[in-house]
Amino acid sequence: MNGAQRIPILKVGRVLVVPVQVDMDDQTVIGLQERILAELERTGARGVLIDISLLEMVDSFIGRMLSDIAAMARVMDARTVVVGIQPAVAITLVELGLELRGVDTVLNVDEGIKLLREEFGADDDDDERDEEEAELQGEWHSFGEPRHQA
Amino acid sequence: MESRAIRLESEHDIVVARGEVRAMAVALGFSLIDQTRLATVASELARNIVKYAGRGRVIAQAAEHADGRTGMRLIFEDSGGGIPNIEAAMRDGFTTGRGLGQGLPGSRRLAHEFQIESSPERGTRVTVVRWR
Amino acid sequence: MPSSTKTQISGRVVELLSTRRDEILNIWIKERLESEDFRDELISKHELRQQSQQIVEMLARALQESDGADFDDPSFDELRGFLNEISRQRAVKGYTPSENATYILSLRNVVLPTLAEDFEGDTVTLVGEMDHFTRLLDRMGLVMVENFIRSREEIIRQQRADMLELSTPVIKVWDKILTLPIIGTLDSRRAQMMTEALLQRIVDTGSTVAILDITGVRTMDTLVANHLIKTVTAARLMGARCILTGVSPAIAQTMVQLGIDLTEITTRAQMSDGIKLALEMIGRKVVSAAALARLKHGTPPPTDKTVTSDK
Repeated sequence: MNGAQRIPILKVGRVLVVPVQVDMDDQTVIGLQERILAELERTGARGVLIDISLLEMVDSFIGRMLSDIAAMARVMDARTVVVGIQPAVAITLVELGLELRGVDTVLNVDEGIKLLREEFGADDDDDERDEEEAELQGEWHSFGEPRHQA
Repeated sequence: MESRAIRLESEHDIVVARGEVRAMAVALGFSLIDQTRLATVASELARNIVKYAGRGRVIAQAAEHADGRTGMRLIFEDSGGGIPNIEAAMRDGFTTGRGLGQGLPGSRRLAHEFQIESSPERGTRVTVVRWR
Repeated sequence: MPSSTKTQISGRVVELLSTRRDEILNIWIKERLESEDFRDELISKHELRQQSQQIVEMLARALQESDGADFDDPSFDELRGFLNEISRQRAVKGYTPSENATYILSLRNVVLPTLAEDFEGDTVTLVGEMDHFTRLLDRMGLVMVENFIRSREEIIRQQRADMLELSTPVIKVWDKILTLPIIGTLDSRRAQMMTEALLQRIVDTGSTVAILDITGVRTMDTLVANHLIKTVTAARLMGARCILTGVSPAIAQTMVQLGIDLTEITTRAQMSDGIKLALEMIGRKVVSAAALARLKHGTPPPTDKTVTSDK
């Protein structure tokens, strides 16, 4: 396989993050699929986040890889999320007849992490709180409620 | 820029073909979505040639409609053994190899005009046109 | 010029157009002003006079230079260009096609009698000269008509594009929630623009829910339904869920009769229900202010109708 086409697989918490940033030839696609599965087994990760927001085209070959990874990862008790399919790519996929059933798709990495965290707690970072929750907390203080004022 | 032939002999040529087709679509003033459609058609049909016929070529050229619209024509040619059952090959989900069987029927949906001729002696020739 | 035919002309028309220019102009303009076609809200008398004078002058010049050649001769280029420009302006202003063509053709009614007056006796030359001049005017009229139609088509194309854009407003109603009210008749082109506009806005705003409201859709057929399904599927691939609202009983009936499978699309009868659902999908809930206040103050909800006042 061409070394320049090697796509990184990063482990972040319990998630494998795969940023696809180049137009892949078929060998690279097959290689990537195998490496993701191997990494799942090696690390025991529970989620796979494949970011294809930079891909200008997804044909049936890449589409099949995404479906296959999702199905195979599921058997290995991991959930796959595909991130960032562009509008033009989405329309083309639908017209091509590929609906990527069984693949979870999200708008951006934030949404992807959120989805995986809901599923199993994607990372150990529980400091992060919903902004509005914090705002509400603030209001609480301004009401002068004793039980929140220690 | 009027016409360009790209040889299709290896998997890498599929990547080259879709890149060249997209570049030409850009030059011809196609919208982003149409560029994506054309690049995808190029990828699907180029792969068919590399996978089934082994080698062939795609000719990409500017096209002009009788009503004045401009467009792009892609001609995929190989001298392989032809497609034994075109009707079946045009059905969604039909495949004899590794794939989803979306290549031919999907490409037809992505194009405005789609023509396929195939025989065991002369190989296969697929012509697609998309108008702007 | 091999393609153009030459007529032996005496140069009398040229002479006429320069020596009796003002007279010809006056009669021509007077006739225009009196004609039923003339609409003074479209062109001022001053402007009409200016244009007409330019035409007469250009025509005289071209006639002299062309030396009997027909309208295809390069000597008429300047005049042709000017006529093109006038007819384009007229198309933009909203002239009728006949009004536009009669303007040039009516020059004949002015020039020919004047020519006849001038030619006393010499009928052969007169007929030749008249014939040549009439042919030229016909060609000038054609230029006016052709360019008028071309300009109008261009205007219609532009207006259609404008309308398409206006007819697909994607509105952000809440953080991460978009609505797309679909109104009128959806043809293939419009449906495609609509889909593209929605998907682009999903990216731009980072929205995860889109409400497609079809309250304003008059007729539902397979084409429209397929476009809706295509839009919903494409949005899902991008990571946004769609809610279809405003499905009237008639449209629901049609869809079932057409065998359109909408089981994978979330639907709500009312747009308001759609918004409520959309909010829930992004983890929000609409609650009454009173309920929220009670929650903040940690007081239990009232058990009866008595209004409990805080403090």
